[in-house]
Amino acid sequence: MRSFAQEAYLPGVSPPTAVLRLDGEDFVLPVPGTWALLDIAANYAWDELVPYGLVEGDRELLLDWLADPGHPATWHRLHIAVQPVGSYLYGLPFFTAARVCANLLEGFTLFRTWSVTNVHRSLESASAAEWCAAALSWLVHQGAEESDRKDTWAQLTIPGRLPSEVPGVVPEWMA
Amino acid sequence: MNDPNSGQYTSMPLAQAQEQWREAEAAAATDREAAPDPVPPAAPDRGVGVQAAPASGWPEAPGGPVRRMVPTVDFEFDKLPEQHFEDYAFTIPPVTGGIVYVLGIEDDNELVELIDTFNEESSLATIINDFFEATFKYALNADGTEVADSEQFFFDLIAPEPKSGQMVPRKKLMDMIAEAVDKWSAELTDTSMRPNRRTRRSRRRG
Repeated sequence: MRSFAQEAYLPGVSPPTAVLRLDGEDFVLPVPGTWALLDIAANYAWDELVPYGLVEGDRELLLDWLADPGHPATWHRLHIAVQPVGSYLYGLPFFTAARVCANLLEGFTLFRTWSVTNVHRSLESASAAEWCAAALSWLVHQGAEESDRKDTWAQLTIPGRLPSEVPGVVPEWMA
Repeated sequence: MNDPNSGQYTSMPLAQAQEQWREAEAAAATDREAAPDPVPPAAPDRGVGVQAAPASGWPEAPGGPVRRMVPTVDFEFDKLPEQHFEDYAFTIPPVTGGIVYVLGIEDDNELVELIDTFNEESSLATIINDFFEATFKYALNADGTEVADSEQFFFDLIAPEPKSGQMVPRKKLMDMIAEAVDKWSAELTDTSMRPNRRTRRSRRRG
């Protein structure tokens, strides 16, 4: 039977570790806390989760694979493989979570102002996915027109290139 | 008590639901003890400090045995697209006019090594020299012809004390390096997965 706890990380309900199966080998990732996850997303430091956040042993094995020119594992392919990890931890593919969290970090005060009247639960105990959902709603609803909201949604969710520097404020970085 | 297999649920507080989940886990663990899982193949030796896996082959979680976990992702690397990095070209107008210098890397391990070099405490001269040693491919004149002995030409050009002509500012070179690394890093994390065409010219060095 499918389970919500397997599809999405639910703090206190889901197991505290996630398992990534790569080339038939299982790699264990202890799930960081909410604020660590948000920092990772805001800086798009996906490698801080995989491979550097894996348990010792698994991390070394994956790094060995990446360093081995004869092994099909590459950093680029690994980056693709971690996108669903984002879906599990943030409720969004990793690159979308990165865009959302980077803008949240940049406009944190504005978000908190908006959340006073628009977020109907305390975010103090919210999961990273709940933070992302709230921030996504905030970003999209900044558009006055339907077309503006659709544009923002597209800029956040359409795959593309992310620059290596810390993502900045819409629209320059999202272009 | 809600039976998860009945298809019928009533709302309950989250804490109560979590407690029922733990009770179900404990009951399942008792069942597993009566009929143990097959012994998995021996795990590869991953060195000192790795916690020994329990008999079930799955990591222990605080609070009791963990049911066999469904992996969050399941990929075969060779089923994912390869990465081809585009060459990076630049000019140094005040010094060499329209001559185009082309840099390139073969794979993302080269990029990772370049980035690691920046993170190590090296001198500016070391960073600049090592970077261009690893990435320089060729130089083209304004008419498209390749500069004779372009590699030697380039390294003579960027030397801290060039044999002829004016020195290329170190800041200019570092700007070029930063732009090249940024470009390749963006390609590494490109989720659009647009097909990249390999350049026709292959690496000339090494």
